[in-house]
Formats: sequence, structure tokens, C-alpha cells
Amino acid sequence: MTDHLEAAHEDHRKAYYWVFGALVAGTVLTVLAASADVGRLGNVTIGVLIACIKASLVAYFFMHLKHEDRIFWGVAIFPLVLFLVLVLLLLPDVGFAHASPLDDPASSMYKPPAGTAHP
Amino acid sequence: MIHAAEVIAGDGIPAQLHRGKFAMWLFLASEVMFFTGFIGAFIALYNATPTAASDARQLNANVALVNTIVLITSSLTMALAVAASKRGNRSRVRLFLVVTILLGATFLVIKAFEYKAKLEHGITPGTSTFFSAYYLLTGFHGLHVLGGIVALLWLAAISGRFTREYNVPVEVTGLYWHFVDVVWIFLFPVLYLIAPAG
Repeated sequence: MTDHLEAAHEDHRKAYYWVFGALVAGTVLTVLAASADVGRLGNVTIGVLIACIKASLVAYFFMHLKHEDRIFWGVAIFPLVLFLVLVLLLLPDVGFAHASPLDDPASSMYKPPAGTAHP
Repeated sequence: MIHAAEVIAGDGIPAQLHRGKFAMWLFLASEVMFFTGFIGAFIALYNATPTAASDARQLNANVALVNTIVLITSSLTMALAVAASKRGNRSRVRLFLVVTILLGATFLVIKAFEYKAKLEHGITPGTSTFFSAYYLLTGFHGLHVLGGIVALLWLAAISGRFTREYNVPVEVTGLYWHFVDVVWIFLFPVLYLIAPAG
């Protein structure tokens, strides 16, 4: 059993170095992708996607989720679902922050605020 | 990893969940929500501030890149410390813990120089909503790193106690340290690379 345990940990350490290499490569890729000409939303999406992959690697290997019981996966994933809900709830705010034709005097859909005269 | 409990039970089902480890995962779940609130505030503020992109361009992405590599490396040494504790190799545990502490301290020193440069340029949390969110997110992350260093110092001090059978404190502290690394993995692209350098 001792030999078996020892061998299992040897394999672990090898995996740790591979994960470390992948994390460094992901970081370099993040920097390179940030200067790609795909628009701000495109840059942010790529950066966050790479971050998701890096975070998954850390959780799966370094935090041992690979070997954990299902209940640990539940505890890990549940707050991420809540995170997504919050971000999705914010999307209208992001999308319409500067884009509402109702606020634009040049637009035919312009509606002056109540109590003010139409220009 | 093969748990002693699994070996004894022999059926692949853990005889019992380790309470300390489970409690740490629950705490980390609450930590995700803690940072979720701030990141949500950041998203809303960023889009409501016309100057946000030019503010973001003033951040030093190169310094943050170095800090990202420092923190990722500290995660590796933390994982190696946990692996050494499971082998019962105390001197290795202490060595990797000390290296992790030094890397964590390096991160904070670099961060402090970054803050100093910003403050010298008159950039404070009151400068704009972008910098308000920047100081909030990186400040709370820095406090988490500091808390992690305190825990690691304690672990290093009692590392003589860890054996092949008793090593859960190393693993539980490791979970926290990796979480702090994961938060930074997201903060790096979101804060420093959100506005392409012009």
C-alpha cells in the first residue's frame, strides 16, 4: 500500500508541473489575446474564457476536485451559478448604458423627460 | 489521491467527509459571493463611466503580468507542500511553505509599489468610479493574500507535527491559497486588459 500511495503522489507532482506550465501559457495567451482587434467585448470575452479554463485547472488539479466526492463539486459549482445569474441580470444595464434612442434628442424615438418642453 | 478512509472502506466511497475540508469549501463558496458583489459593481460602474476605458489604460499591465506569474508559481509550491505533507516529508513541507510565503510576500510588495505609483500620480479611490472599483477589488484581494500568508506562517511554525496520517491543515490552507490565486486569475484580464493599450 505504501508503494502504491508513493506512486500516486509521484504522478500528482508530474501533473502539477504540467498544470503550472498550462497556467503560464494561458497567462501569456491572455496578454496576446488582449491586443487582438476583435472589439472590447471580444477581448473581454476571450480574456474571461481563458481565465475560466485556468481557474478550472487550478480547482481540478491543485484543489483536488478531481478526486473529491460529488458533494464538493456541488459546493464549488453552486456559487458559480449565482455568479452567472448576477452577471446576466446586469447585462441590460451594460447593453443599454449609452444606447437608448429614447435618451437621444437626434432620434425620432426621443421622449423628453416629463415636465420639460420638447426642443 | 487515495484517502486512508477509502482504503479502509475498500468500496471507493469515503467513510466520512472530512469536516475541515468541507467547511473550507463552504467558506470558499461564500467568498465567491463576496467577490461576485464587487465584480458586479465593477461591471455596472465600468459601463456607466465614460472615462472608464481611459482610466483602465493607466493601469500597468506588465506589473500585473509579473504578479500573475508570481501567484501562479506560489500555487504550484502550495500544491507541492500538500503533496509533501501527504508523504510525511516534513522538511519538504516546511521548504515549500516558506517558498509559498515568500512568493505571497513578493506579490504584496509589487502590489504596494503599484499603489504607490498610482497615489503619486494623484490617482486615489476618489478619482473615478473605475479606480474606486480597482482599489476595492485589488485591496480586498490583497487582504486575502495577507490573511493567507498569516495562515501559512502558522502552518510553517507547526510543520513538525504533520505526518502521513495528519496533514489536513496543510490541505485546507492550500484550498484557500488556490482560491486567492483563482480570484487574481480573473482580476488580471478584467481590470488590466479590459481596455486595449492605446
